[in-house]
Amino acid sequence: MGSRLRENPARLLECWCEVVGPQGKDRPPWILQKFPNSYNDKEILKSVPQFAFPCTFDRSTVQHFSFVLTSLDSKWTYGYCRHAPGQETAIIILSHLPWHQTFYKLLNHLSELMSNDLTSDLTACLQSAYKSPIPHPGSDITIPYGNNKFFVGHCPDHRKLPTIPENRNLSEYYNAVDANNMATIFASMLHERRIIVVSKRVSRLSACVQAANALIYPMQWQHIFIPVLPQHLTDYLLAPMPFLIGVSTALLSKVQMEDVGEAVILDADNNSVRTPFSDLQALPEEVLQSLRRNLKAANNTLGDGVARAFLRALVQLIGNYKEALQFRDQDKKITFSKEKFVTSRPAHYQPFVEKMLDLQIFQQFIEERLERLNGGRQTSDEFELEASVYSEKGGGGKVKQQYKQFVTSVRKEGGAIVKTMKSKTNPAVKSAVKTVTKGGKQVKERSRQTYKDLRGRLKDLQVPQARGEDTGEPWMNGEGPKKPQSAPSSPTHSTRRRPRTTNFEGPPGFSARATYKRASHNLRDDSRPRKYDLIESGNGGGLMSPGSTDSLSTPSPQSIDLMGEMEEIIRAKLGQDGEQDDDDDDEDFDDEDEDDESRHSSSSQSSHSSVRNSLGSESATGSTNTVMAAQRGEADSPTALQASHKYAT
Amino acid sequence: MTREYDHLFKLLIIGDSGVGKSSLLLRFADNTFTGNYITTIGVDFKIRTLEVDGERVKLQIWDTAGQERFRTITSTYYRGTHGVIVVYDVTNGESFANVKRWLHEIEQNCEVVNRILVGNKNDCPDRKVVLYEDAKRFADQMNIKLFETSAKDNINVEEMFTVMTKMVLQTKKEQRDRQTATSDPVRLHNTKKGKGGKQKCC
Repeated sequence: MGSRLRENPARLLECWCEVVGPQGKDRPPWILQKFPNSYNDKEILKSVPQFAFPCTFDRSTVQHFSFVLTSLDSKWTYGYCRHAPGQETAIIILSHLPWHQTFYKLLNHLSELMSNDLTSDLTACLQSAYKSPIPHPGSDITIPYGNNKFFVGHCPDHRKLPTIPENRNLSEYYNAVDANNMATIFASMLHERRIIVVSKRVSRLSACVQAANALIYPMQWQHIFIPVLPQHLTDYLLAPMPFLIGVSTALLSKVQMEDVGEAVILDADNNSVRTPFSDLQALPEEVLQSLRRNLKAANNTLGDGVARAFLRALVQLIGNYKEALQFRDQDKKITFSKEKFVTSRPAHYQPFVEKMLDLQIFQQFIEERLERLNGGRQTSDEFELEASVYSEKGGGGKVKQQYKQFVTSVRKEGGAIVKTMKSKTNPAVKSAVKTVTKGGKQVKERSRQTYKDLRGRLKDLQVPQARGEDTGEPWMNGEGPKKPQSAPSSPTHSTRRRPRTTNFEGPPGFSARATYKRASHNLRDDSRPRKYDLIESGNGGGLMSPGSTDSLSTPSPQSIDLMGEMEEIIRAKLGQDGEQDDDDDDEDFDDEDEDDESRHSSSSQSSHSSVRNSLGSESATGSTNTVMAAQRGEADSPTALQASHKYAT
Repeated sequence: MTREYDHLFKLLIIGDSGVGKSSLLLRFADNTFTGNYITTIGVDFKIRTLEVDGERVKLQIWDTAGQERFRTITSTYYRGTHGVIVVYDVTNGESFANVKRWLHEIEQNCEVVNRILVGNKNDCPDRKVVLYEDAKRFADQMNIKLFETSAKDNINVEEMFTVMTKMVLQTKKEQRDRQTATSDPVRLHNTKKGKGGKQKCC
């Protein structure tokens, strides 16, 4: 409910495309080719070029950034971009998954294939990635293609907090912005302000905006969210509603700030915040102090220390929400009592906590938890865990401890609250909640009894599989803020390293457009390797002409031919796979999870790691981490530094 | 450089998807070719400049995607706006129920904000399920104005926006008058940091 991520995405990636940058004012960016060519979301395709080239920015190093498109149902689609110096095109992957590191690494890999003129490998790799099942969060992914070649990456575990340095967004945010300013932005988000992040570097913009959202976990930003604002959308900074928008420095300088009105502005290049509000000071003193203390602690700079510091602040503020749960007799539902929520807090917390009730982010958080409780599901995520740790330390009082026991006993005994039990469980949950909130001594005993009853009923119902407590929504649960975990940033390649930096460079006056045209004329009559490694038409990829996304309704004769032909070929080639994919979509992902788990834990895990080992040492070329590493002055990867030098020249 | 308007007002339009919010906006807007971004960034706005009582007013009307996922729309959402246009579909009872809940919420949290209730798609009597009488009773109870419109047939749209603009203009004048009446102390008060934002709210 509160999640902005699409539930049960059908595939790893929705689309890959190569976009030609703008050439002067009259020639806006356009999609040169895409894979699969059948991908036909007009609205998204129309936006991709402008979001991939949102503004003029320094492209003297490899840059990765992500943009976010929000659909009508308010769900997010991520666009992962890779820009390389000297190249007139950028490559983009569209996906519903929030796995930044994984896709940046895949983009590096694809870029390598492109620059080595390995067109057939590029197509094969894309095809394989497109068909690849979505890996279990936290596991490795292997995409085999061509003649015994692999892409190997790691998929972050969203149930864990983002860590430094593995999580690139958080690492970049932490590098660029000091603890006090991060806390100020955090506090501004807890007031649902209009927040602008400004930087000269698009990669920093998207990282900071994404990381700031990750730090309000277990809540998630519910308002306008544009990590990198394209030039043509500058007027959207006038929006009167709360927003979190990343804007390039050059673009912001052209905006009439008086029209924008009161906004919090974080300058991520100069580590400064301008705000007309006193949001940070509005936090309860105790919370602010411990947040500062936790952020300062030296050992917090690595691992999940930073994320945990913010999580703890939120646990102090809202970790006790369960004490405000009530059972409503008329419809047998668990509800949330605002009054109880406020009065259960110490007096000096109350003014702030009361204002939190007016936050959409908090509202959606509560709605989501209630929905799960009323569905008979127990939630166990980083937030609940931290809340119980906090209560053990005495922060949350006795009741919390009893609730924890209650949860533990549920885990031990039942672990089998199944959707089908929904209607029957409510009376049980009722007594459980009542018991807990009363703080009665027999909590443990009663809940045990309750769950014994439940088990009895379960047996009657002959539920085949008992599942443990819920970690949240289908599989993306606490996904709330996506918490990608890691993926070594250096690309791993099975092919030789490319000998040159740029492939698109030509003689002075070289016109990209003219050459593309030539390439597209060639498209139909042969399958010879092309100078500009366009993917072949028969393999699901598609070549576009400038402006072809705009003219989807009235396509040029050329594109009519291509579309028709390609579609037929794709159908013929993918026919059965395609159908199977569709069937898979309908499956309950929870079940797939278990399959994935076993698959990964047995055969493939070992083979993956061996592949990774064998490939890992071979190569590491220009990823943007090189920039970060260089900035930090940590020569943690000699190859990476070498790569960054290469791009600098 | 002189401005081409005397006032800039930002309004919000809320209601379930499918009640015809974007049609209303299109009907109302100066220029229908400004593009539609609600499907790509989840937010959209339209502009119209009109003259009311001899003053040039520039209206920006904002719309966001996926509002129906909110059981309640909290006050932070309205904070920066001058008025809210709440839309339901007269052929859809559920959309009216949502609107009632949201308006109750605004009433509780955001007393001063200008509100107007709009029953759109009022062009097919056979399919109408939300009766004018019921909606009117509710509107009176909430002390707000009700308009039944059809964006499709361009019925009552112009009137509705004009009335809304007058309301917002009126509020602004009242605020200004209050300020000049109490004059200096208020102005001193307002120059203090951090106070201005809240008052602008609602």
